[in-house]
Amino acid sequence: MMWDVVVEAWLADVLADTALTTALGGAHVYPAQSARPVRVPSVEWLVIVDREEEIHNPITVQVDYWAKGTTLAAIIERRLRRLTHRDVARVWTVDGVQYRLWTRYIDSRTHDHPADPGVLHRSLDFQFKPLREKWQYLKETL
Amino acid sequence: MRFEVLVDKIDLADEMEENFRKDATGAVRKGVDIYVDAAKATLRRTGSRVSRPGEAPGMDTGELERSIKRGPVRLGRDKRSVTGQVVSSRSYEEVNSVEYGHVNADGTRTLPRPFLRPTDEQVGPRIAELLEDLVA
Repeated sequence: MMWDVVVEAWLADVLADTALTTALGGAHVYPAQSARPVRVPSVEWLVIVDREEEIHNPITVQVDYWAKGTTLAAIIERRLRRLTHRDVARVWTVDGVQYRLWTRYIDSRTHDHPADPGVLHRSLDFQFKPLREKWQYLKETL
Repeated sequence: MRFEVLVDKIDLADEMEENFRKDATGAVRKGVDIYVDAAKATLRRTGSRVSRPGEAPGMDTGELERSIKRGPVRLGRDKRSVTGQVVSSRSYEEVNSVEYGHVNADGTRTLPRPFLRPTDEQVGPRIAELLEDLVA
């Protein structure tokens, strides 16, 4: 699966959402890096399952966010879920090529954040499953 | 990780139910074994080098790999379900922080080194098929 393309398209959607960027106090959405201290509030993403041996395999992306207080956390999580989870396929167009995907929420959890009391750290897993490639593959093999 | 086979919706005669329980126990045990083997293989994939965030943790002492075992496969209290577990003798916090990452008290980071979620992705459908065959 071409994670670079789909993550880029997902990021564009996330950063274009004014409700989310307002809650974050700016475009504070970053790839996860251990060298950089956590900014509160912010969102980070990391591709955690990417079986590259087959093009039609899904990828799983862990999206972490940090927020002071549950009210702000609820706003951020609601926006992230609404922007990412779909019950049916969606189409992203990148460089003129259409990518049909099913992006769905898989799981979530709360972590301790001992570095700063009152800060909520949660992570959400989303699966990006390509449908177009799979369908094409099936059509070609029939 | 837990696998459960429910006999709830199947109205079987007593002797058939007994056979089904035996088959279900065998299938759950096999499913758990598949998962344990796959989780260990995922852990060995990175080898002894330092892992990058997002890939399975590198092996240092091999203790995490050795700690993953098949837990007891049990018949439920109502005798209508069979449950199997994959267990690790390492603490929940330790495995959790390896799998999902976390921020320490001094603000330093441990980014995720997932090995359970890739295992789910890899063998989940195979185990589901195995259990579905049981009721087919």
